[in-house]
Amino acid sequence: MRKLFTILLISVVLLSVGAMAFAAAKTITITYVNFIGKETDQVGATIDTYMKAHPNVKFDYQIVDHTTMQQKYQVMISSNTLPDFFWWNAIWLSQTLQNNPTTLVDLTPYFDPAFKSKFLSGTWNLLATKDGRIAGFPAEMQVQAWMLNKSLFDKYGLKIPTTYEELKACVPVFKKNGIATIDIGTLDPWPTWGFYQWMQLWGIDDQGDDLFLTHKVKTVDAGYAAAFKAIAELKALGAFPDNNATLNFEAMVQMFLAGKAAMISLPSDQLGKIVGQPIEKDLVFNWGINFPNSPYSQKQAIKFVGNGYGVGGNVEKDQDKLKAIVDFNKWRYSNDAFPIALKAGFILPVKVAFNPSSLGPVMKQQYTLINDAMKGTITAAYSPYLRWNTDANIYSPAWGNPIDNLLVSLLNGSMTAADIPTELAKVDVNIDGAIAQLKK
Amino acid sequence: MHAFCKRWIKLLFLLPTLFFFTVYTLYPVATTFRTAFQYNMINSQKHYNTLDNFKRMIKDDHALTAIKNSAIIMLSEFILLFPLSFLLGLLLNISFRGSGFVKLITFTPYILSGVLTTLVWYFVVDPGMGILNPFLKAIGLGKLARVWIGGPTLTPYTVSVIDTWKSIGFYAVLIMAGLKMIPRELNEAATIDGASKPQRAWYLTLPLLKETLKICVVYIIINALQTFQTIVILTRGGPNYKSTVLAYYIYDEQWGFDRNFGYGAALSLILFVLIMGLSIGFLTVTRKRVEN
Repeated sequence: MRKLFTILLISVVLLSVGAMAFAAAKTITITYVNFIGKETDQVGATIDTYMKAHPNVKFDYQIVDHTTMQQKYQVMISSNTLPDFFWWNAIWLSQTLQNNPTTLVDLTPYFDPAFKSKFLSGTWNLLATKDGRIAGFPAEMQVQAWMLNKSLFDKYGLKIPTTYEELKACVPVFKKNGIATIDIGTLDPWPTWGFYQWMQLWGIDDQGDDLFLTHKVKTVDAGYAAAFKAIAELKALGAFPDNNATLNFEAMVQMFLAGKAAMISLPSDQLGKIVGQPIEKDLVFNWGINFPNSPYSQKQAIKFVGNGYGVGGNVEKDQDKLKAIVDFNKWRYSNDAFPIALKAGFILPVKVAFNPSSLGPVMKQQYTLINDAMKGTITAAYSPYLRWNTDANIYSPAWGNPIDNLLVSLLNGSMTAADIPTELAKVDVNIDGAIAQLKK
Repeated sequence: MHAFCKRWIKLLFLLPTLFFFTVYTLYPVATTFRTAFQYNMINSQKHYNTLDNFKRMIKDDHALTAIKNSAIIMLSEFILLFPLSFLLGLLLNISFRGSGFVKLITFTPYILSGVLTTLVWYFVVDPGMGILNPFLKAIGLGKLARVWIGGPTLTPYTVSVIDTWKSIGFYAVLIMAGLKMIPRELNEAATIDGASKPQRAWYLTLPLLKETLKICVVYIIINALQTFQTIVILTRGGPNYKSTVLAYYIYDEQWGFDRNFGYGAALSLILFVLIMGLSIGFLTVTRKRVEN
């Protein structure tokens, strides 16, 4: 009897130890999808540190080409197989949570008031659904500003322009010396951030209700039409690279890094291409020019969170994995992890105790821009988007695509100033259609 | 073996192919056909909208430009490829020292990666970074320098030249194979009867090569109307859709900013009808002529 009891006792102890060991050894593998390399990705830069501190958590880092990634996500939504943790544009995350709620985890319960209060204003403009549900963990605070190569301006005796007229004055000097004043390539249609900022300075958001809700003000008469006229004028003067219709974004950046262009519009998530390059010490990163003739506030700048990190709906079936993802992200926005993301070139949209003096030249300037007194706005493209219930199916054909096409066409010269009234009149027809659709 | 068993075994062997054909060809085609008559955008509630997508196409300048550019590429490739590949095929049919090497050189562009060869051509024809315009200026022909790609008009013609270069070897080999099937005795008999070389080519070689030439024409129609890769790498349909072609426009509508799967499917249907219509129409007309 005693023997039997002893055997039973030893078995129970062994089983308990085994179970504990098993529980401790249980590895949680999180599939993480992005389109940029680990070193230049804010999450990628932090996961090694996190995994060291949490040996049972493993990140399976997968890089997919950006275009392929966007296409794959659409297919994955249909089959409810979104990755565990993935980068995506904020509007698509919130749209997906709005229209396909089972495919994404609603992160609202994980942002308790104390945690949520850490975030800067403007964080949730695009990452939350219409009814305020949070669709993703915020990516960096996007600063869509201008990078100027000061050494080129100094070389040709020019000062850094602060107004449109000063910018125009630089164009013939640079052109004579084979330098493009403003670097742009339109083979990729999207690197036009700085020009959307010009629409902001010409009041697209200030006039937003009249432009996109009541349509009392027609596009052709709108303040922001002046931004297109300015672009057409600069093209005619020769401010942009010749034949930029076949220049893609990478070639455009290389051109700037090679000193063949004086200024380029780059957002925060592309600064990794500049940080650490020999040219970095000569760069000025600022909000670019203003338009003294504009009746609208010039003290506004594009700083917002445009991208985020979603959690695939299937993760809810594995509570340990979900807990690990939430825990990782809460740590990411802490005082400890903030500098790691910074080193990769990203400033997270949180209030932390941090001394920027240790930063490199460009990152220091970016930090200054984020925290300066300029009113942070979202990019002009979102002015109609938010007013049209964040419905991309209405926004894209009605305004997004035609305006983007006009902008790119003016930059590459396939349209001129003479085409602007006709194209904007077409946009007005589209806006009427969009408003009618919203009323249905 | 019992006749029933034989039939059953034949079916069994056919099943895998039928399965893959159904899943990867018939089903996507049927789904595309259905989607063409739907309002179907990303994250939207799909519903049937009868002919709205097709009505939009009639008023869509970009779609009409795409069809026009596809037609230009098809006709240009026909004008370039047909005679050049025929002459090359005749050359490849002759045995001479180094003919094996010539065959290799001719066929190589066809088997190389299309992305790679197009990228190389980019660095030839691009007006900003290509070597063609500086070369023309260097040899005193600067007046011939043009905006070969990225401008308003010349891109489809440049694409035709590039695609002709890529595929001339394929068509030349097809024609060479056709020539090899013509009995030598016929040529010898015609020579004995006093026929000259041009007469033999016109009255003997060409008629006997007719079926091969018909296949070449059909291939040209199909490949030219499906031009995609070259446009993606060189211009992405720009500037301002001026160089877009139907296959690229379909991709742009479905996977660009709009993500309008319904409209893209409708465009796909039009492309399908164009390819089938032209190919079958050509074969029917040429068959009628032969019968007559």
